[in-house]
Amino acid sequence: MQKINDVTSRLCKVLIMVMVLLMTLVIFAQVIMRYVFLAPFAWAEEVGRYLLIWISSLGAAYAVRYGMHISVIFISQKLKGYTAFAVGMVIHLMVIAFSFVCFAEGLHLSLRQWDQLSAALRVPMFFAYVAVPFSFALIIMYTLEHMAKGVASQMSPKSRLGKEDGP
Amino acid sequence: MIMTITVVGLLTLMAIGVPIAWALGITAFGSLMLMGVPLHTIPQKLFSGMDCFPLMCIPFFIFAGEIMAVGGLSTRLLNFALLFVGSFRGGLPIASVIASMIFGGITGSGIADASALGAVGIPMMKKAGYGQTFAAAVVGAAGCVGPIIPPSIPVVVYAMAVGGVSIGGMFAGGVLPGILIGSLLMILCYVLSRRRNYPKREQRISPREFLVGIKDSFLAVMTPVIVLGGILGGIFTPTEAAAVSVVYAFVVCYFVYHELKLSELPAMLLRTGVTSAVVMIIIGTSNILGLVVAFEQMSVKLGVILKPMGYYGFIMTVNVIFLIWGCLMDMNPAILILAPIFAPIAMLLGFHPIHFGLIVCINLIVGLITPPLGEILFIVGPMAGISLEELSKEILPFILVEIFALLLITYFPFFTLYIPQLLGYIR
Repeated sequence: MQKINDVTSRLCKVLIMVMVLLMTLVIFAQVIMRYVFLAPFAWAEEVGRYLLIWISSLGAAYAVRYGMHISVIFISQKLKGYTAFAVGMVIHLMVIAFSFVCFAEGLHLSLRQWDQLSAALRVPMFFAYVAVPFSFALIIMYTLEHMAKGVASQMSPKSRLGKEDGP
Repeated sequence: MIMTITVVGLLTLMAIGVPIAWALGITAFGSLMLMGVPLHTIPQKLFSGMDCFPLMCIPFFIFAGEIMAVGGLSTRLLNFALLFVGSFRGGLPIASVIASMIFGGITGSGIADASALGAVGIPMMKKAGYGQTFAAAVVGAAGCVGPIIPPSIPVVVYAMAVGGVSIGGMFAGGVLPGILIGSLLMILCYVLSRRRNYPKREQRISPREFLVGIKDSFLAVMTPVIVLGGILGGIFTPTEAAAVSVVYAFVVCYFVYHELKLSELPAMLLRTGVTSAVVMIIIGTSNILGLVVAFEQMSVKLGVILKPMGYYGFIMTVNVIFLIWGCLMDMNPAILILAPIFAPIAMLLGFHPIHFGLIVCINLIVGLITPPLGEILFIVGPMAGISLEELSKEILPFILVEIFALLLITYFPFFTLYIPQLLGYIR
């Protein structure tokens, strides 16, 4: 699983870089077209918006793998040993449940958008909507990886003596 | 009933350390299930929350900040300010506040402001004998001015969440509060430097030095002129201005200053994408929870309690609630969830939307430097190599000054409404 996740997170990384660059160039080009050539692109805003959704979804998944999401660590960092492990597992399970809803319902939703064409580009809206289920599938995978690591470190003899902090 | 479950559930999840984005989503998921709302609304609301053109300025402002910090723009802003105030007592901290304010005219994020100026200002102040704790406190407190002086990410998020208020108008309204807070911080720097007898630069700046300095920093100082002038003059939308500032910063740092290497670009693109994604996904999941808030008519229910307090009682309650929230929590969920509940009540009590919006935003921005969870403290503290306790003690007078400014802004609508009136945002 770790290998698959390595591949997908590297894919995320590259896609995010390319998309941020593209989004910047598209919006900048839009400004130039409007003020210099007086002929704005009709599609620039739409492309920018959907790139942003892809960046946000993929970035959210990437941030799950590398623990970059903002959380309140005020109380949770005081938890030790088994309690910390148990709380961590419950959190992971809840994240998986939520992600599963976003994945399954999101997939359903995006498939229904197949006939729906976007306003400017006339491309199926599917390609914008599918960012959500795609990324939440990744989030489920990454969370499972965190859980597996948590269980492994809990099982290791060192932490059973209570010398190590939880996950 | 569902309202109670939602509130308690959300606070519990956040307290046990569920990342805020997921805490919002999970709570909304639970509440919507209890209410029997079909679950396909969850991804739909998540999507529609993020599908918004003005929000695109978030990645652009973050990107521009990344480029300017690495590419030598922040050093030049500081040098520029030093040309004018360098020979006063406390000249360096005062210059650092000024540089922060100019940087605030480019970036919309306090964290970007504090980290860009911190990387330059803290070592400089340390070398000049100011002490690293003081240096970190100055840079941190001045960082708050970044998102108050337009452009501003919290303002964009607020305008999106609440609606019915123009981003440009709120930007214009942030100008005077930003200058007010900046000036008060400068006065505080001067007073503290005198009282503690901090060193003063002995030699004066020669006219030649002055001219060379102006020439070197001219292109850097022009950035906020383009961004701010463009937005307030109605030439660009905030999103376009942000994209232009990215390209401008890149051109200046790469072609003119030669301090930016192309090999650094991929890492910057990734950091920009992920940092914005972390904010964007919170906006998305808040939008799901917003559905629960709307269904449950929380604003109406809360209005029954808050409206009898009257204008001043209400705004005092708002100040206290948002200040406490700002001490404990990230500001975006507060803007996205609390603000839409409070704003309609404020409108009924006769607040101007721009005035109320800025009160909320500035309230939460002050939370960036309040312990225990001021995000800026976690950035400037490690930069100066000091503990959170030391920094918290040193930054206290700065926090008090900012709260004083906040009260002025709250009780005198002049500060937030004068410039929007001048520019025709209010008729």
